Amino acid sequence: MKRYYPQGMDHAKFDQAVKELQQVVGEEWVFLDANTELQPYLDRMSAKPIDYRVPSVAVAAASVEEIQAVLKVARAYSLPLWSTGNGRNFAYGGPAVKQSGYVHLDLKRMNRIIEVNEDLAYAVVEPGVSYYQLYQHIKEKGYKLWIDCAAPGWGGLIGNAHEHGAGYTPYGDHFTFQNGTEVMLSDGSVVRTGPWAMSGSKTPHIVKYGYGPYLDGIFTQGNFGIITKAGFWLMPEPPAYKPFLFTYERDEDLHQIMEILRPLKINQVIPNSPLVEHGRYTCCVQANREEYWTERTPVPEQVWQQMYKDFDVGAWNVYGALYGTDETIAIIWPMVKQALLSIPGARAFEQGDRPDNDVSWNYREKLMRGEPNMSEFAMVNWGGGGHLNFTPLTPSSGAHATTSYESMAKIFEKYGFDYLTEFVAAGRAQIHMLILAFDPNDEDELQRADACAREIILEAARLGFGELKANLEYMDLVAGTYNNMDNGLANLNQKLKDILDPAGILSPGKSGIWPSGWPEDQRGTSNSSDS
Amino acid sequence: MSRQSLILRALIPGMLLLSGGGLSAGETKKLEGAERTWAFYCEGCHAAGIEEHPATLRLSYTRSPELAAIQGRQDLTPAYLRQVVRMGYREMVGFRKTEIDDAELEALIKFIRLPVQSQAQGEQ
Repeated sequence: MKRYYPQGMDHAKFDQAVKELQQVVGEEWVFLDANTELQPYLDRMSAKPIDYRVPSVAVAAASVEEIQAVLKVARAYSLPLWSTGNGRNFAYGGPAVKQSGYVHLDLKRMNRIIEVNEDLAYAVVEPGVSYYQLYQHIKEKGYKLWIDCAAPGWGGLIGNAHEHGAGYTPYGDHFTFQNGTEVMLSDGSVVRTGPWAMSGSKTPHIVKYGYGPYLDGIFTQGNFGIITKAGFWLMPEPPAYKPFLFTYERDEDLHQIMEILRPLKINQVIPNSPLVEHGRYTCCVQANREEYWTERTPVPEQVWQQMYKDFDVGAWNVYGALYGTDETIAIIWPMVKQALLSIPGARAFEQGDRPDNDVSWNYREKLMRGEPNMSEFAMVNWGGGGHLNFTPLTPSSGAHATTSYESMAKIFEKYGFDYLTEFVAAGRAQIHMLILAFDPNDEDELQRADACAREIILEAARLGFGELKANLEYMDLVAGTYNNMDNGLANLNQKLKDILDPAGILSPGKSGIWPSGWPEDQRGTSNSSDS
Repeated sequence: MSRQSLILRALIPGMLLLSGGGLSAGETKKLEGAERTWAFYCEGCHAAGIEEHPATLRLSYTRSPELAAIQGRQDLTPAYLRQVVRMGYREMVGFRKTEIDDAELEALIKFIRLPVQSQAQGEQ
């Protein structure tokens, strides 16, 4: 694999910059060899070849002071720094840099759990802390607290929340339950937000808003600063927990399912966000595709129907849970059950009703009480390793869900991929999750997946359903769909970028936000750097 | 940490004796650290139990049910494990030195290759 350098940078100058970076973090934490130690910094799961986004070097800082020193070098040499914390986010680019030649600033070594407060139910962590790590820490200490983790559970708290990620307990909207950010700007200055901005504050992680503008949000999915610590609310372990599953026989039941769920969710009868999972999705996390269909063409409907029978799942499967006490659940459960069973053919399942080896029930039951696991990652097996996720946001209604479901189905069919999908019934809006699984070692599938991805994004936007996240490859495309008021948001982001990061060194191109001086012909491309 | 992992923890001292012994206190500590590495980075996909662990599910098909769980597999050489952990392989991603450093990787490889399953079955 060839070596890349930051765009337009003289190689001798780059070598000098590397020496200075080595002085900051130590030689053992500066990685240069693209054939060995930089390999885990590549993305082998998107619709581009693995050598499409290769950093020039990876630098692993272990403290706020080391990041400050790295930034000083980056400013002096105009190094584009792409920072990651825990370094997951597969389906959206994983730990890879936006463009080859960038310097990867790896913060995984900053993995301290700084505080867990059991009484006030919150934790403060550094960027490298994973869900597994915090979960284990809480178990070891015996705190009666739950975390809310992503699926898969190897993700990181800060990265997931700041990428607008979601979980499965009532605390599933991760950024909503984030409280207090410590962020470093490109000049090395450190800012703490909300009440944490006050010296000696006794409420840095229990009140989201202090005095003045609420700024935490501008550091999500952005490139205005590097987050170095953050607080998260944790859910006190409830006395009672009741997971449930409802299955439905027909694709067209989606409309009524969403109509029933909307008031149950908006009125907080169901505290977490129920997942309305298509049977194809439910099956793909527990089966080897080749055991059912050996062709690379989409699995035929009759084969899916056989799988639904084998795994005893529906065309749609609604997973959710109730939380509280036995007494409160005893009041609410009959109401939920009656409503969700009102569709002909619906079946209800409670704890103990499913077989012991039911993968989907088992891992969802764990996720809805905050126990991290990797079971859902099995969907990566489905296509052969490659997968892209999409997240159009639609209003919570049967009509909108059906429109989105049917529109996206046509695109998956057009490009010849299995249509793996679910809706996260988050309340007033629902996230329409789409999984595009493919073989990253098959050139034809890569090209079709890339074209399919672009059409999904543009068609969803045409329908008024904006993406919640974007893979590295499609950040500019998605940013371009948020074009209201003559690109008002993009223009504001540009102003903020130029003020907060005048050197233009922090994650250029993240979420479609580029430094003003970045060459136009090097925006949105990924492999154009000098090599 | 899973039930199986807790069983492993209980078995480590005995396994070390059975696997040749002669390990220093420092090496024993490294293997205990390796169990933590295993729990954070490997167990979710690779633990025994085809149904819930994606890599075990996959290996049950591409290799065989007997070779699906990697713990205790002597045919996985240290060189191969080193390569796969760092470089990834198909559905598996590579792991950075900031996640598993070289010393932790060597301890992890020893931990994976311990004849765990036969020992666990013997206990039962």
